[in-house]
Amino acid sequence: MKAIPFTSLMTAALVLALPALADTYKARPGSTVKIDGTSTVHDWTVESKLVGGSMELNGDLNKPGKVDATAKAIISVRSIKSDKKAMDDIMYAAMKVDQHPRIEFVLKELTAKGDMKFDAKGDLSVAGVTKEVSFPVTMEKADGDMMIVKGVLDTKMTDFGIQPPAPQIPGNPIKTADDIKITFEWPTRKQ
Amino acid sequence: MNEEQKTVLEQSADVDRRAFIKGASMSTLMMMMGGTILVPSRDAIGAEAAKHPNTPPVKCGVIGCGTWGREIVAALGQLPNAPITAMCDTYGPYLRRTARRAPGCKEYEDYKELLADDNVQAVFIATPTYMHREMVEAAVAAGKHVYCEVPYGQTMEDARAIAMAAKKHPKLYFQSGLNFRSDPQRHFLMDFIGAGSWGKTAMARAQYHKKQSWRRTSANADQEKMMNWRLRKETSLGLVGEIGIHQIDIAGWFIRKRPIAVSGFGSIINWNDGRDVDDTIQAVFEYDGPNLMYDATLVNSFDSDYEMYYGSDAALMVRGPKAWMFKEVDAPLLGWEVYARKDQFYKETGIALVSNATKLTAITEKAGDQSTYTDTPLRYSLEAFVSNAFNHQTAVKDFIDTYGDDESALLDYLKDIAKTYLPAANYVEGYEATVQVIAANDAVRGHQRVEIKPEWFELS
Repeated sequence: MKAIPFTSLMTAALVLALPALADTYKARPGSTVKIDGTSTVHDWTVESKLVGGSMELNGDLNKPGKVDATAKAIISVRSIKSDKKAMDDIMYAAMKVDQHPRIEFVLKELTAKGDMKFDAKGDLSVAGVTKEVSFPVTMEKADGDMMIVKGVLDTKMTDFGIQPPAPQIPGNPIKTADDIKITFEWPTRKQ
Repeated sequence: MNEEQKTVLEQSADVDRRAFIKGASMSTLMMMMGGTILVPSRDAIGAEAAKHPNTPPVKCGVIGCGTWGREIVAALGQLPNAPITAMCDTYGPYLRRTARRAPGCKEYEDYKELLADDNVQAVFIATPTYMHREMVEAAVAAGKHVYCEVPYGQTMEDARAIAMAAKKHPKLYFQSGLNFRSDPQRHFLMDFIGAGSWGKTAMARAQYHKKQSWRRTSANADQEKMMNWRLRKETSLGLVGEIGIHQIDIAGWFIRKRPIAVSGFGSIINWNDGRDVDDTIQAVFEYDGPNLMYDATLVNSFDSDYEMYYGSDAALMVRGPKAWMFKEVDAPLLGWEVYARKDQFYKETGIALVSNATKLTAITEKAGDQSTYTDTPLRYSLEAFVSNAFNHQTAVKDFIDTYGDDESALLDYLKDIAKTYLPAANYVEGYEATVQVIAANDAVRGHQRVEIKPEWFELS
């Protein structure tokens, strides 16, 4: 039997001993984040098409259980728009845009449930207030090196110290409901 | 009193007279003739339209401190987010006098120095038409947002160069000075027109009638020559271009067509003072169906300035911030006009179209008293410019911070984000309007018909 060279054995041992290198994904254009709410006048929606940031994924994403993952997503508050300029101004003021121009989400825990479905837990920072949130997400591979992350988060404005806007229009006061739904689609590309 | 002060007083008198005519006489005249005021509800207009935008400040530089430059400075002075940090004019007395309206602003006699000032983010180019091109090209090269007065230039070549400069710098916000395009009243009317309320378009008419020389005077002969650039063919597009461009642009916007030809006539009737630009002109624009008849004179002021649109179901009259609809007897009932205020115009009954008023307000107010939109189209236009410039530069920065400098994706994003901007004329609209009045000026000078070729509008 031919002896296996010692250096080859050492190399194989080192490769097996090292943790697998994580795949890094960076945000790409094409993202959307929609915030839906209601008021005493009508339902409303605001939207941004700029969701930046990146994530690192390691291991088998289809295997149920904890996933070795990190992620940070960033949204510029001023990129969130409605189709009404005055509503945007009210929203920016409520979100204290001058002091806190960005919304940030930092992933703390990702749990795979199979079929590329996950539960995400992390810190969401809005208007200077950070709160831990949990919500379901899905991931979908596309175009070879793309990974599209989708999710929905139900939350409240007051959780982040934001009082639901109540514009004082004479004869027609408006009250905005506290509950909001955040729906996002985040295309990322493997680096 | 020196000549310059005298001229300023004369100009002020013109403005006062214009304001009087627009504010009082016209309303009275309209009441005498009869019309229905078109009244949108607050929901239809959107309550935000009446509210002034509140974006963070954009530092402004004004190039050109003549009559219109001073109007711009005065309007900017009313905005809370448009600090004027620099001004420029080659004529010292104009510069110093205008700069007093913006304490602390830097004064430049060379526009290139103003463009090199890092404390200027956006520039307003209010110089004579033939000077626009070099200033716009230099301004975008210096990274400034640009508000350029119209017409862009005296030649197709200059107008195209300006439009292309704007197109090649998509990271900068560019707005043309077609101020009616920012006017909420006219946007309300567009909705009304879009609903087909006047039926088939038969024709349109617009006029600008003033009794004034259009001449500026100065103790300095060279300066006087410079100030009177409008009166010389070599530097002016005449009444149809320098004045008519706003009404002609709006007529095409309302008719929703580009003209295919224009015929013109012009004469010097009254002001034989050495000028070679006509003091009275007529132009007929053909839109492959309806025609627009435009006339302008500096000889007679009767009926001032307004636009008329004639359709198979109704006629629409627009006078400054007010409008009336005159229905044909066989026109279908729209419903709301039953409750709308009616004004009498000689033998006709007009339905008042008062933008941003409630029905109740329209019924109870006296005819022609007021529109909720009390600001001038210039003010709305400048508000739009400052707000849009801020939002544009923020969008560019946010995009690059988020995704890097992917120009193709950035253009897609900016195209999308522009839908949220306050209404204003972009570089294409300013270019197309300029093309039309250059052709019209050729028609007026030659007393001829000039075909407006579709390829003239292409920007590639």
